[in-house]
Amino acid sequence: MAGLFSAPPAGTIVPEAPVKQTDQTPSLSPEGCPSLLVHELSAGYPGARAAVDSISFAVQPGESVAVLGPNGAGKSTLFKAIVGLLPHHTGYISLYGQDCAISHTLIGYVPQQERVDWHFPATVRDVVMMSRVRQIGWFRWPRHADWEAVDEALARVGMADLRGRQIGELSGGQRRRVFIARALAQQTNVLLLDEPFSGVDAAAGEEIMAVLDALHADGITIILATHDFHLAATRFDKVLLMNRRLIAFGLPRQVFTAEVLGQAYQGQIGLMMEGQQTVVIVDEHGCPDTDN
Amino acid sequence: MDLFHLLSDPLGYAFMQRGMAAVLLIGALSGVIGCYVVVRGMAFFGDALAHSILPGVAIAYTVGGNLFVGGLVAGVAAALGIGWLTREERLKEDTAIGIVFTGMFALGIAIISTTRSYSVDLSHILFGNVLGVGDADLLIMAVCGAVVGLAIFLFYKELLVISFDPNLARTQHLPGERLRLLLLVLLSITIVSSLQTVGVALMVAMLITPAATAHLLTRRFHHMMLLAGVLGAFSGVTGLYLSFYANVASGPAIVLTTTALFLAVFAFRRLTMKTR
Repeated sequence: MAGLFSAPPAGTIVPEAPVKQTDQTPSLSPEGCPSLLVHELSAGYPGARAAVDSISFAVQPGESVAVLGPNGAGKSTLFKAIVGLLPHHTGYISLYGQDCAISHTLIGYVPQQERVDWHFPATVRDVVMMSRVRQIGWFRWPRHADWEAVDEALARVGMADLRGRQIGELSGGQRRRVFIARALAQQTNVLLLDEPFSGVDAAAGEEIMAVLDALHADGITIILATHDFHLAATRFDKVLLMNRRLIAFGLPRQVFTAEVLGQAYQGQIGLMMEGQQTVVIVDEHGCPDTDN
Repeated sequence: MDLFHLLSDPLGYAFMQRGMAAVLLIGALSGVIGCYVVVRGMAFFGDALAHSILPGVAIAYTVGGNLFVGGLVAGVAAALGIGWLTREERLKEDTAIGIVFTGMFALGIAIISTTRSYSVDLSHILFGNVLGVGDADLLIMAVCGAVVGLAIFLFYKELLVISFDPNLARTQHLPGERLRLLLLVLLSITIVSSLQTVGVALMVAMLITPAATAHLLTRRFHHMMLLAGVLGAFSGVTGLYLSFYANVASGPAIVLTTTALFLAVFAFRRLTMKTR
């Protein structure tokens, strides 16, 4: 299946070398630690070839980063390694300078597919409260302040009105926003979202993006995996392009060049100049998200 | 005979008083813990655990030891054995459960078959003998109920997280394996203490039927637990009266009451959903 993308106007593409970080150590920002530092990380399922191979990058506080790459590029594996769902073979991850052994619990993670039982007897509020399990502490029940934090998180994703609904009574986009609220309720400043627009319609996707824009404006660091080039180019501060290894990490105009995209998608990609528009054609089989 | 006498007459017998106390306690306890069995999809596991306690009970019985301790040890051993067999996906879980539970059940029957009063003992263990509950048994049930109830109260939110979303439990660094083991131990305690009420063969009904009924009527987990506890206790008492007047064995009478309640609620839900 071929997908069509309109990248930013051709005039804005500056023909400069992409910022390559594969073989240099990301440095701490002078003001302090980056929100998320990933250093020479290799990860994957045990026994298999490493799905993520020696990736390094640093995300500064408040930045929004779109993670792009073909199917099987290791985007989900990278995210799972960052939040501790998969062990990493080598390298280290730190959040605000803290080792990931502690920082796993500090990252708000919204998985690609919530593998949960939607008939589970829990309301929207109950689900959001679950991420506060460590803050509340052993042997305790949620206090008033915890419920306030939950309601505040729900308000930020525009789900305050539906807080009493059983989770199965929500639409796909609403369910995704509840999981974003759940990540926020653990009092995090870093959100990791694995293809949050997959499986929801365009209108619901736009609602989710509007929520993320508002969170970005509030200074939340957002790292989001997607197949949507246009979205990455227009709504994110930086783009990270990977295919097992890091191909490029930088401003959209630095990453979206024929040379760089060709490296990531090898033969699966074509570029056409149509007047002022550069059209990127990506041939990704079995990927429903490439055609919007 | 009026309703008051209908309900109070059986309570004139001491064995009926103890039986009532037992089914109230056990009905409520198994209804509450059964909510985990239902939402986690562990019905087969619960059934297997109930059967697996048999060799422990049988050995304790033949050597004159404490039946409760024997059953508990066997139940936890079975749970750990199933966990060990399925680790790193060496065996599918339902296969491992099937192997362990039938093996232990057969071992239990084999041990009991060596005793003289084989058939009577076996039927009591398989189907319960609630009217044979003594004061000491009641005390054990009350202590078990208190322990399980307190553990659920203290670990409510952690057990909820591992039941709803194990991945969240992992990113939040909850000790998932230990919490799952805690749940299995609580389940074993409940099953062993319920042995005399409905017996091994019908035990799983007390765990899942009231909880499944409550699931149809509630939208929050702790509400489901409270309702399942009430339904379990109500079914126990109703079933015991039915057994008294209809002269049916008590275990099946209790289980049939829970089944009837479930079917009534299920039909009601289907009807109300269609007219909505």
